[in-house]
Amino acid sequence: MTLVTDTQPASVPGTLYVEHEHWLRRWLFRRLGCRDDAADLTQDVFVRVLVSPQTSRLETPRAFLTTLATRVLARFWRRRDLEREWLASLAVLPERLAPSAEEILEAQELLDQLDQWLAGLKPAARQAFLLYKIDGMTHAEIAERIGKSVATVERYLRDAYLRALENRSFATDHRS
Amino acid sequence: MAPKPQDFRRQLASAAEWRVRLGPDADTAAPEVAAAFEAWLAADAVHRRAWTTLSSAIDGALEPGLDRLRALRARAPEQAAALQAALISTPAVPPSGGRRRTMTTLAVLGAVGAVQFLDGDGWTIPGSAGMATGIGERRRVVLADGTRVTLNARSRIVPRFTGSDRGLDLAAGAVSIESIANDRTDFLVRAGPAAIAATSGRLIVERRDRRTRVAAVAGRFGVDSAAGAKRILQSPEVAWVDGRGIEIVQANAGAVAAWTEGLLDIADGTLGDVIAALRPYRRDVLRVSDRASALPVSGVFPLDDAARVLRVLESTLPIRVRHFGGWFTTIEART
Repeated sequence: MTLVTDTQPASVPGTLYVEHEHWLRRWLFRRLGCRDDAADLTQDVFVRVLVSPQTSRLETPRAFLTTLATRVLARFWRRRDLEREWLASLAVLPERLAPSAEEILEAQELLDQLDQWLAGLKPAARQAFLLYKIDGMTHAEIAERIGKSVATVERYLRDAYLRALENRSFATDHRS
Repeated sequence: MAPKPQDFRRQLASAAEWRVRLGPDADTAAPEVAAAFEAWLAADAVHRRAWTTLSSAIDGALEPGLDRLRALRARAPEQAAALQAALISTPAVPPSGGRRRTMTTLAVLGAVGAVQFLDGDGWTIPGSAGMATGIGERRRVVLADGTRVTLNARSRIVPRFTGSDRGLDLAAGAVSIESIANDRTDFLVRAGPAAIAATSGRLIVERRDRRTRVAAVAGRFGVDSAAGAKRILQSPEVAWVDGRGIEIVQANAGAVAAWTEGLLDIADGTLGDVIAALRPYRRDVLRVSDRASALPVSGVFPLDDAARVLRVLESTLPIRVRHFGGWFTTIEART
């Protein structure tokens, strides 16, 4: 470790890594309580540093890293929550319908991907959108199912398209 | 001239509203809605730009994810339902640093039994609810009795093996039934208005709108129509079955089977035939005018490069192909 402080400008991502990797890993470990997760997420933060547009000259490298790490951490918790919810639904299935190990990995990835696309959309709108896209229901059928007007259902669908557009850059981010 | 950002945002909202109004399949949208949409597109370059921006995000990135969920739903509806439930009901939580978690995930995973899904050489075994293919995807499948079939893109089959009933239902698309396992009972294919009984040989069954096409590639098959007509179909005959009966047409069953090799083989066909075969391989809606649809076409085309096929057709036929975003393509006869 060197004597870099937060007020000292760092130059390239490489320098950032050498000077702050250990600090960031400790910062994440304090929040995760697991050494392996902390190491994984540290790598993920630095991948984001590499694809981030303005890393050439940073006045406050640790504040920058903390911002990225907070986002990575939020995504990490969110994925845990999604998986727990999904597994709770699966747990009641008879064994012959349970997914294989390969299918579990695929489903986790799919869950994470679709959740990022639909980020910011409230549950009723998510439900309407999935009934429309996956179950192939008409606007009227969805309205009846979720107990809302057809106009509301159509507003939900429109919102879902616009959200997906907004979340586009975020959803293609590197996954941890 | 670049529009003001807030104006462009408003146009994006309009584009999203058009997508909702046009519905899941612009082919079946009411003609007046489709006409109004095309007028809106043509009215302003900003409209078209908004439409393209929205469509490329939805079709280029969101739809592939949704396709995977749809495929899961066709293959394992219970698993898909669990996934949808999680997407809807997991509450969003603001990021906070100090939450304590326990690792329950792995323990639950360990308790879930594994299901064999793929065997050694790329043949897939369908689940009880059947199997579906996505856009541009062909898949070889081994059924419970050992019969081997190939699904064309955007197709769905539901195998039936209960008691003395042996066979499959073709719910959408096309299937090639390649080697029928020996058994005392016939292998029975049900596809819309048609039912086909087979003991050996090879045949192709394809659903198109409310009709079903049956091609006897090798062997003899009994074909029944819902209207009560019966025919024996002998290789290389091809038949169309609809609500009225069975019609044997001049065609070569071998050419019909070309899609199993990734090819489209059209001899003395029409542009309409080519477009119908390309649709399962394209994410966008292909709308072809009646005049263009009737143009005669012969040739062998690669199904897996549908974009190139369209370019080739545009350079050799008197047609105009226009793309509206990544979602809507019109093919019209040049005047």
